[in-house]
Amino acid sequence: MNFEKQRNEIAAICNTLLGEGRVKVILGFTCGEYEGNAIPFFLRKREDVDKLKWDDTCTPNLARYLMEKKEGAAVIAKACDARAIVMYMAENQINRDNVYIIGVECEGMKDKDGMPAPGCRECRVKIPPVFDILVKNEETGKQNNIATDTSQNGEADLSEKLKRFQNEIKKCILCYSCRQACYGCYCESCFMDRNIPNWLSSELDTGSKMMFHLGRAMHLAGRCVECGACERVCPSGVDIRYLIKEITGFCEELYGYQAGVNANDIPALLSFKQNDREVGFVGGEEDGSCCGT
Amino acid sequence: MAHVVVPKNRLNELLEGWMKNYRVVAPHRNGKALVFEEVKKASDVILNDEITYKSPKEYLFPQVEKIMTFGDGVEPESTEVRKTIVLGVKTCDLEALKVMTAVFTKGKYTDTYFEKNLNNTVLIGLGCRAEKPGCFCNARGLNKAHSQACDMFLTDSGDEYMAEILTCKGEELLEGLQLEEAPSPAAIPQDDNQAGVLEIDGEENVIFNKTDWASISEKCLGCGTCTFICPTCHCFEFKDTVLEGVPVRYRCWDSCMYPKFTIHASGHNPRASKKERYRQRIMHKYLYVKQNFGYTACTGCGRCIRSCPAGMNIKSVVTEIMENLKNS
Repeated sequence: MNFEKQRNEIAAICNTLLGEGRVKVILGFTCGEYEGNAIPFFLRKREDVDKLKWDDTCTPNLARYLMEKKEGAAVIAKACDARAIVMYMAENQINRDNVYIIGVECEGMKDKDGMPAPGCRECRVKIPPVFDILVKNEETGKQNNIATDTSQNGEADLSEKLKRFQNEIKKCILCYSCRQACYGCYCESCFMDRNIPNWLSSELDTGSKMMFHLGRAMHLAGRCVECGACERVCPSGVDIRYLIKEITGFCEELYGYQAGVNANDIPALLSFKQNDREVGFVGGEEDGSCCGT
Repeated sequence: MAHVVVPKNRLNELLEGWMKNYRVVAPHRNGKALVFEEVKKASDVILNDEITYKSPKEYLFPQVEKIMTFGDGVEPESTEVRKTIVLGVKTCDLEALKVMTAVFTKGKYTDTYFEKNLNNTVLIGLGCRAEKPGCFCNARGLNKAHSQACDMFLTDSGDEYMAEILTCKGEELLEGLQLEEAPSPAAIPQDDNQAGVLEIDGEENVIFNKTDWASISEKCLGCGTCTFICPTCHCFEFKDTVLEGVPVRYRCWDSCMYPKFTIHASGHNPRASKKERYRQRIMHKYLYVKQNFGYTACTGCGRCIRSCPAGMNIKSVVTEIMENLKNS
């Protein structure tokens, strides 16, 4: 079993790190009390290593916790966690020297029904782009397939798109779990929480939900690392990511930038070049091929 | 009051009759999720052991409720509440509505909005046969198979439901239906609870100060999902807004898990980190409501355990707190 083998390797690394006192805490997984799924776990002592879990239920994105533990932490990072860490580095949120990354090549995780988890279904990056030590997986494809996902959502017509979107977000209860679980939503004060000005109407209506989801999607343009956390945590089962996926596609097409794949790339939202294409901008070029305009 | 027999093959007829005069809210399937929603077709109703991901509290305490309009020359809006039947409410949720009713109507002030909704709602309970993963109503001292905190309680007995009529509102629903009276009310099935009731019992100060809240809450993402789906969470805020020139006041659910919940106008936040916020959630559920109203505001429905993206488990947390208390 690959997971078994990988688990042993990870455990040995954790033992060394904790034994030598190189890190204060290791972000990992343990067995949850409910249905045996993996839940986040903070290893601090060598005894904790026995409780370490590594199997196909290790879905949570642990990079999120690095924002609270910016120093002296090691993290067991699947490719998507590592991509999030690359983004944190690119956005000057963490210092690479202060975090030890145990990269793990990942075959994809399963959801509660045993199906590939959201994010894993269409995962393109299986090898962590950044790590201090790598736990290999013989079954992982030799290379990351980082080709742009051009499988658009089908509806070319804007009104069709709107209809699908509104239909999808009807289920949303505006609890903001997706925001909290997202590695990229780390603003100290989210625009949704502002009351001066108030971005949302007080009603729990489609307008408010659109405002939130469109706003969040725009803020994640070219930043989504496709970990699927937002969709996994949604209590109402909203397919939140399809919109962000589309924006990710535009970003790759227009600016050739893929989030969190290369630590030296400057994120699309942080760079400006004179010849940047301006499709969809007011007064920008008109091009029917993108953004459905 | 009386016990009558409702044959399952007459249930649809009953429901269709009720739908003429009431809004009927019942568990039904929306996508994958089972939710309490208004049903228009009797066949959409799903009465089984499954548990809805949200509690039915929103029909008494809506997530967003327009409570008034004001201003010069503005006619007050009619505040008529639709008569509603909430069908298929499990014991844990009925117990939770008892807590909500106490909070909103048994304190120093009565919340007229909640009361009006309550008076216009007929609650029909449904016995549970098996605990689902995450459920711990038994540990909270509830009997999953029976509750009297409703207007009518249904117990599934194969081809029929045994309906226990508990109030006039419940009786009204069955009027003129010529249902057979149950020969002798079946014995109430009892749940064994050997482990003792899970609750926090101790000095507030000691629990507040001696518990390692930082490590307990370390995993928490602060998403607040637990408070949205919890059957007893009842914190709210007010929002004033202007709609087409008319000032309107809304009452909306709020969540103690959000940083903004306690932020002061000065910018100071007394519950600045998730440690304090998680402490508040546990202390409020297991201590403060008990001190004020005599109930522990957790009924063991297990929703927060099932939906938590970080695997927080309120049952283990409370157990841990009590163990620490014993050992210190």
